[in-house]
Parts: sequence; structure tokens; C-alpha cells
Amino acid sequence: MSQELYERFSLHPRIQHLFLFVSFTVLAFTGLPQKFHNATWALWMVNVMGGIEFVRLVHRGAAIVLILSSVYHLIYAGYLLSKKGLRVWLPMLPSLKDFADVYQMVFYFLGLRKQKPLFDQFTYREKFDYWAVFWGMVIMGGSGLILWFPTFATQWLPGIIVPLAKTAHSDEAMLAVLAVVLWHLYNAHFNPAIFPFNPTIFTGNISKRRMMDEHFIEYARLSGARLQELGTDVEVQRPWNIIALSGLTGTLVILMIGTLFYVGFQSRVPEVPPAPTRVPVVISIPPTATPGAPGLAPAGTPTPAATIPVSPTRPGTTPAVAKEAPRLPANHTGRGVCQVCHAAGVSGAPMNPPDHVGRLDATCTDCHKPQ
Amino acid sequence: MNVSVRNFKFAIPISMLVLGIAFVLSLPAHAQGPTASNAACLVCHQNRDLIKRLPSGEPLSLLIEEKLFNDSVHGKKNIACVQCHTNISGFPHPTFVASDRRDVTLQMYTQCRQCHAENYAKTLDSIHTRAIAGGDRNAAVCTDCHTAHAVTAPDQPRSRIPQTCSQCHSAIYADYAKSVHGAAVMGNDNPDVPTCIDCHGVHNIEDPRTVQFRLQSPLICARCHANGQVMSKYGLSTAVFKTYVADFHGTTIQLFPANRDTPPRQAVCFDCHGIHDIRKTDDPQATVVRENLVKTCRKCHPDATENFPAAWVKHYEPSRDELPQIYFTELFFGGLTATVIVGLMGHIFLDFGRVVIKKIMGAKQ
Repeated sequence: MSQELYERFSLHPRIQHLFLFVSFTVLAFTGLPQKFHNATWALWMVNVMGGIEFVRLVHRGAAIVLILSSVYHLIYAGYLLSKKGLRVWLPMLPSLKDFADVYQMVFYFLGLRKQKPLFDQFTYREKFDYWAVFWGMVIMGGSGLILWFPTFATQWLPGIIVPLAKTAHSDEAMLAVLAVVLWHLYNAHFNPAIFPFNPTIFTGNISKRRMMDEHFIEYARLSGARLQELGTDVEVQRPWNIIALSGLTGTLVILMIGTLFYVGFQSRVPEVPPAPTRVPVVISIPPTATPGAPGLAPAGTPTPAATIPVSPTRPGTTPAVAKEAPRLPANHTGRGVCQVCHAAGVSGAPMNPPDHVGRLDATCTDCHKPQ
Repeated sequence: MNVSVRNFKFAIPISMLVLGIAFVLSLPAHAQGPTASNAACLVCHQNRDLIKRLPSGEPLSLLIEEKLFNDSVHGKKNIACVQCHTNISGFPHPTFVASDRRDVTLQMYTQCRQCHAENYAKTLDSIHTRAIAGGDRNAAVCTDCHTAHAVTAPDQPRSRIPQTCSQCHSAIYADYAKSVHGAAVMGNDNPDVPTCIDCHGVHNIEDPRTVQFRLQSPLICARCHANGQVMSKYGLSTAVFKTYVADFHGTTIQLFPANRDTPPRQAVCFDCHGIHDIRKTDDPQATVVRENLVKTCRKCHPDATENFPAAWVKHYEPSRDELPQIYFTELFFGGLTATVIVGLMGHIFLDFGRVVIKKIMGAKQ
């Protein structure tokens, strides 16, 4: 069926949308698991995509693409302004008519109005989408760059800007993803008037039929028709079928469940590993002696009860040695293998006294205290 | 009926007999009563002059202090000498060849496996055993920590654990003893603070320098620091782990693949707080106290300015009082998201509802 086509988007916005579409998708897929780092699917996703460091690399690469296409868009918008003046910008700016349109549209949805309001070049939905992305780009680009270069950012800005940027980046990302998945997907695909796919942003063209339905004021201006003549007969029957209906219902149910899960993840994912049960060990310390370190009793000590405290810091204990053993030289701190030298007198080390033979390394410092 | 009653008369004594035999058979070897042979061994091995000179020139005393052994856990259970020295059944003993004292230890320590198979098996995975396999003869074996003949409860008192490790790891012990954990355990045997083994494990001590250990390390700290029962005693926050993984460093560690060879560059707990010399956060010498924080940040962020440490929110959860800027930013975005999504979803449902109603109405006509 040959149809009269109108050009709706020139090449530049189409390229800009393509860049936005691709980079946003990549950013969402690489960013969401970082936001939901506690979820098991996040770890799975990151590992499938090649590990967190590679995911971050891709995320930042996609961010560069998106920032550059935003710059491209701003230059393009500035070029249009300089060439054609404010009249190219005005149709994109929110107006009082937009609010009236929303109001009338709701009445139409509720069956309180027979007809939709007549729209000009950009409907309130399209303006919302545009400015939502504009706002999102400022927030996400700005906060993302701060997170990417935190030491650079804090050369001028206070440190709190970094966690603030993280909060904004994470929360605005969620808003953007939800808006795209719920709102944009409905408007561009699952809306029965559109289903399965609105190709205008890729082809740049819009059919006369949709032009009349969605942008009647612009159509009338372009075609020279008079609103009064055409205005009452613009509601065109949309070709839609049961597939669209079931597809949409299914998608909405899935999205609703997804939203519930999102809310659930915020509160239900255990963030702290289960703490093992710890039984406090009650240690009874005898007032004068501690059955602690092995081999404490020197051979010469006659009474079997006489042992030596393990730790010099323990209060209430008294050493059972009559004569204090020579202290360790300062350079011996930390040595633990006494017999290596002192059993045989290696390197001039004093030999063990005869009654020390057989005593264990672990016991030497019980009498020979460090300095 | 009669038959079964007659049979039951014998059932109880017989089953008791069977159970009794089974019980006796199931008793471990060392519970079968003291063996007389210890006294036989000590006839010679109480002799202080019983010293062998090893090929290395080192003397090896063969003296066993009877009291020392009898006071040990094994002595108290009347374990016989020959239960470990299994190759000896009389005199003369079979030939025993050892080059030096360490060689004696390394040949003998595997005897522990006979009774302590489980713990012995754990040591096979430990860094000590791998070090021995790699040629380091001084790496610890059973008897280095527990001694050979004077084995007593190794964690009584608790401060004995770090002292045991300090026999070799003296420099680490010096750090630990000054730390908030070490001071508490060495000073008054505090049961809540970790000793070496609480973080490193007991017999299966793993290499703490691996990627795996680094990735798991925050969970080790969280065992206590996310445990309200322990932390409430000291007025410490349990949110430290939760807030750590919510931040850039922790998120990376959490999502880092476990099978990498290169460790993650992002900080884990001990990169900021110190490893063994962890101090209280308000200790003037603490790495994380305000005065020292820039220095700590610069370990990884060399160009960090004085502003930078404030980028770290000190494990606080945003609230009206702490970090109100972040709290209200979250509130703003929460409200914005809820408003926008509710509005958009409402629009979608109304739009779609209109189409459905029109279809139904159209079908009726």
C-alpha cells in the first residue's frame, strides 16, 4: 500500500537516537548489576559479561559514546538555532497547551470525551521523553564523571560530592531504566496504535494516516487544510489484533512483577552474612598458677605445683623461680628456635646448663624474659 | 503368643551382651587402661645423660620428664609411649636415622595422624605443609605448635594462641600485640576479639596472599563486626559490612570473579584499617583517624587532596543526622521516581483501557 509520507526527523536526530539507544542499553546492562550488587543474578551477569573490571570498562566506553552523542546533539541544536532561529526550538518547549492536552487526553481515555486533543509537531509525550533524557543526561553524565575521576573532582569540590554523585547516579539510573522499560517500550512498541514497532525514529518518515492522528495541527499546517473542516473526522480506526493485546498484557504483568521484585530486593536481600553462633569461652584463671604453657617446671623446682605464669602481663601471679633467669639480649626479640644455637654453642652462644638438656624451645622464654 | 514370650526371656540379656561386646570393641585403643610400658621406657629415658649426637653435630636429648608428660593431655589419658613410637616394642630399638634435630621432628610428627586424622588431614591443605613440601624444613608441623610430649590445651588461656604463633611470626605478633584486638586478648583474655586462628584458621591455615583470601577477607571481619551480640558490648556499629559492600570498593570485591589470578585493586577492610596492627578508629595512631586518613587514601589514590577523605562516608548509613545531604538526595530521587512511574503507568493503563473498552463496545454493535 503506497502511502503519502512526511519527513519527521532529519538524519541528525536519527543518528543521535541510534547512539542513545545503543549506549543506553549497554549502560543499563553493565550498570544494573553494579547497583544490585547483593543479588545473586548480579554476580552471575557480571561473570557472564567478563568480570567486574571489564564490565566497568564497557560501561565507561558506552558512557563516552553517550556523552559524545549528547555533545553532538547540543551542537546540532545550536546550529539549528543559529540558522533558523527560535522557531525550531519553540515546538520542543513545554507550553500551557501541553497541560491542557494531558487533561483532555485523560478525559478521552475515561470515555468522557469523544475525541483526542489535536496535537502539533510534538505531543506532550514526546516533549516529556525529550526533557526526561535531557535531565537524565545532566545528572548521569555529571555524577558519572565525578565517580570516574573522584580525586580530580575533589580538587575543587568538597569530598561529599562523591557519595552524593553515587546516590544520584544510582537512583536516577533506576528512574531512567524504569521509564524506558515501562513507558518508552509501551509507546514505541506495545501501544495498540503502534504495535509492533514505530519505525519513524529510524526511517525519519511518518505516514499520512499517523500524521493526521498524532500531529493533526502540524498536518493541517503543512497540507493547507483548515482545522474546522477536518477536525471532526480524524479518529482513524487502528489496525490491531489479539497478538498485540496478549503481548501487551503479558509484558505489563512481567513488568509489574519486575517492579515488585525491585522493591523486594531493596529490602529483602541479606546484606550481612549469617553470623556464626559464638559461644564465649569462660577462662578461669587460678590465682597463683596457670596450667598453661608446656614444660614450665624447671628440673630444679621441687614442688610439683609450682608453675610459671604464661604471660608477664597477667595480674595476680607470681613467678615460682627463686632466682631470675638471665634475660634475653635485645637482639633476640622474636627468635623462637633457641636450641639451634644454645644446645651446641653455635657461634659462641652460651651452652645450655646441664639441667636444661631436653627442655623445649617453647619453654625458654617462660623464665628467660625478653628485655 | 507363648512362643514369643519365651523367646523374649532371653532377648534382653542377649542383646545387652551383644551391646556390651560391641561397646568394648568400639572403645579407642587408649581407653583400654594404662599400659605398664611407660614405666619401662622411663627406666632409661629419665636419664639426663641420655644424649645422642646427631650427624649435624647437634645433641639430641632422649630425656622424657615424667611429670611433664603425665600432666599433658596424653599423660592424663594414660597414653602409652609406644602408641606414638609404634615401631618400638623392646630393647634394642630399631635403628632410627636422622641427620639433625629438625629431621627428627619431621620424621616423627606424622604419628599424630593415627588419632588426630581429621586435624592432620586439614593441615595437608595448609600453607605450612605446602612450605615443607616446597623445601622449607622450618615451616610448622604439629609438634612445633603443640609440642611433642608436653601437649596441653592449646587455647588455655586464649592468649596462648598468639604466643604459639609468635614463635615463628614474631614481627606480626609484635604488631598484633599493640592492636586493639591483640591488646584485649593479651591483656585480659577477652573472648570476643580474634586471635590469629579466628581469621587464619587453625589447622588448614591458608595463604593469606591469594586473590581468594583477599576477596573473602571482608567476610572474615563481618563475622564479628556484623554481629550485633558482640558489637553491642563495645558500642560498635554493625553496619560496617553493609555500608562497605554498598560502596565502590566493596561492590567491586563482591562482584569480583573468584577465579582470577590478579587480585582486585580496590581496598578491602585491612587496606585502610591495617592488617595485624588494627587500632581503634579514634586512636591517634589509627590509619583511619581523620589526621591520618589522607595518607591512607593516598596509598591507592596518590593525587588525593585534603578534600578527598570526605568522599568516604565512614561506614555511616545516611539519615537526617548523619549525612543529611545524601539522605535528602535519596528522598528526592525516591519521590521523583515514584511520582513519574505512577504517572506514566497510569497513562499507559488509561490508554490501553480505552482501546479495550472500544474493542468490546465495537464487537457488541
